[in-house]
Amino acid sequence: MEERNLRNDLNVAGMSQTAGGNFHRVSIDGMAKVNGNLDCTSMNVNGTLKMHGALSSESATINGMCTLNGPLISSRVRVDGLTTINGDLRSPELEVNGKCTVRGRVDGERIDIGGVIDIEGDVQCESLNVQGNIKISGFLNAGTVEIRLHTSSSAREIGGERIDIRRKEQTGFWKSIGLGGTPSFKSSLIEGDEIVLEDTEADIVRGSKVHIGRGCNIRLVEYSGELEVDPDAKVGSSQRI
Amino acid sequence: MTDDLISKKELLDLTGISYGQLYRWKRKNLIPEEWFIRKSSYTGQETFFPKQQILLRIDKILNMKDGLSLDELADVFSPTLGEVEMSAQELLERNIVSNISLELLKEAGRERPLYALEQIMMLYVLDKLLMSGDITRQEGTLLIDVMSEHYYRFTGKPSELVLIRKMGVPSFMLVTAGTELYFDNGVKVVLRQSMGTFMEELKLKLG
Repeated sequence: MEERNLRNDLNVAGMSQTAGGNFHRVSIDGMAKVNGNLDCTSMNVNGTLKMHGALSSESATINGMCTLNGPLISSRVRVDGLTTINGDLRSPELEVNGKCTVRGRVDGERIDIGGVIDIEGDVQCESLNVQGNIKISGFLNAGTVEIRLHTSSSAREIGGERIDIRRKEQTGFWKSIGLGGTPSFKSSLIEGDEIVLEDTEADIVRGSKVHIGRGCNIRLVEYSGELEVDPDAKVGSSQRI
Repeated sequence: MTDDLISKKELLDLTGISYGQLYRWKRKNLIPEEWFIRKSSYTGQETFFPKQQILLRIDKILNMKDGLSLDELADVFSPTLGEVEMSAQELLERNIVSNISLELLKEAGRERPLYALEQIMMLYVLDKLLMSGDITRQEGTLLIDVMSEHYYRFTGKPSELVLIRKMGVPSFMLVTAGTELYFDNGVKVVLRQSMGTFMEELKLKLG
């Protein structure tokens, strides 16, 4: 492959349709449709982009609307607008402040969610930090999971080292729109070394140090170290293993 | 494939590792995705592992962890081929293969000045099987053929080496790991081994 910085830039201002290809910097300020794969150093979308193919870029920033029909591979992704990815998302750093839908799996190192993310596949990362709304239909495997509940979130299963899911008192924006229901988290299985939960509904929780806080409803807790249960929580049965 | 499975709970009990470690190793690809077998049990969904493979792997991870970083370990376990080139002389000196295997390779007309990892792997397997008495020299020639013609097809994928004999006539096969094979009555499966195990051993020797 030729050096990326020797390539041409692709600038779309207005409306345009292109076939895709290899570029240095891509910037979409109007409406664009890309009919193939794109390989570039940086991708900047401020308008609307519709892509039929894979996008691989060193950094991708999406401020407008973007639909990708293919995987997105990048070393840095930031979504501030509305993005739908009909494929996998692989990026060591992912930041979502808008709304993002991924119909494949997500692989990353650091994932920060300030907005809304909906993932149909599995998620694998070192740290997941959520200050918004997350829905994972697959399995979440992360080193540390920190979720501050604003609305109703869920993950089918969680496995990791530190899992911390707590309520965040609603103020300002989230309270004023009043969408998404009361803060709650749903999962069928949560496994980890250190687990702190609030407002969580789960079938099984397994860990060595477990804290079940207010508003939880857990059917079975299995722990090897210590267990603390808040008087405001419901635990079906607990068992030391 | 053996049906000998171990549940996640038993595994953690037995090895003394924590959930966090298990999941971290999975993230680092030290434990392959396909080993996590989901089955429903009386408590709901449970995860099972192929017992022998997972115990062996965890034992290896725990024993080698101190010397190598997790990423280096992942390299050892991955079925992909790295970039190594060695001459026959070096291979002999480093005790990876013996003269017999090299001679056999010469007879088969596949001698090279430098061997890439793929070929070193072939030589290593050949040497191991010859030395352990599992195969004859004639079968060794067959092994060289099947490995050099087809092994590249399994790049990055787990594979197994199978040797069958029917009325004393041997035949080698390379198959995807875990494939079910059925034969007529006259066939005896002499050997079935995962290439991944060979590769791990070899990478440790080379590393």
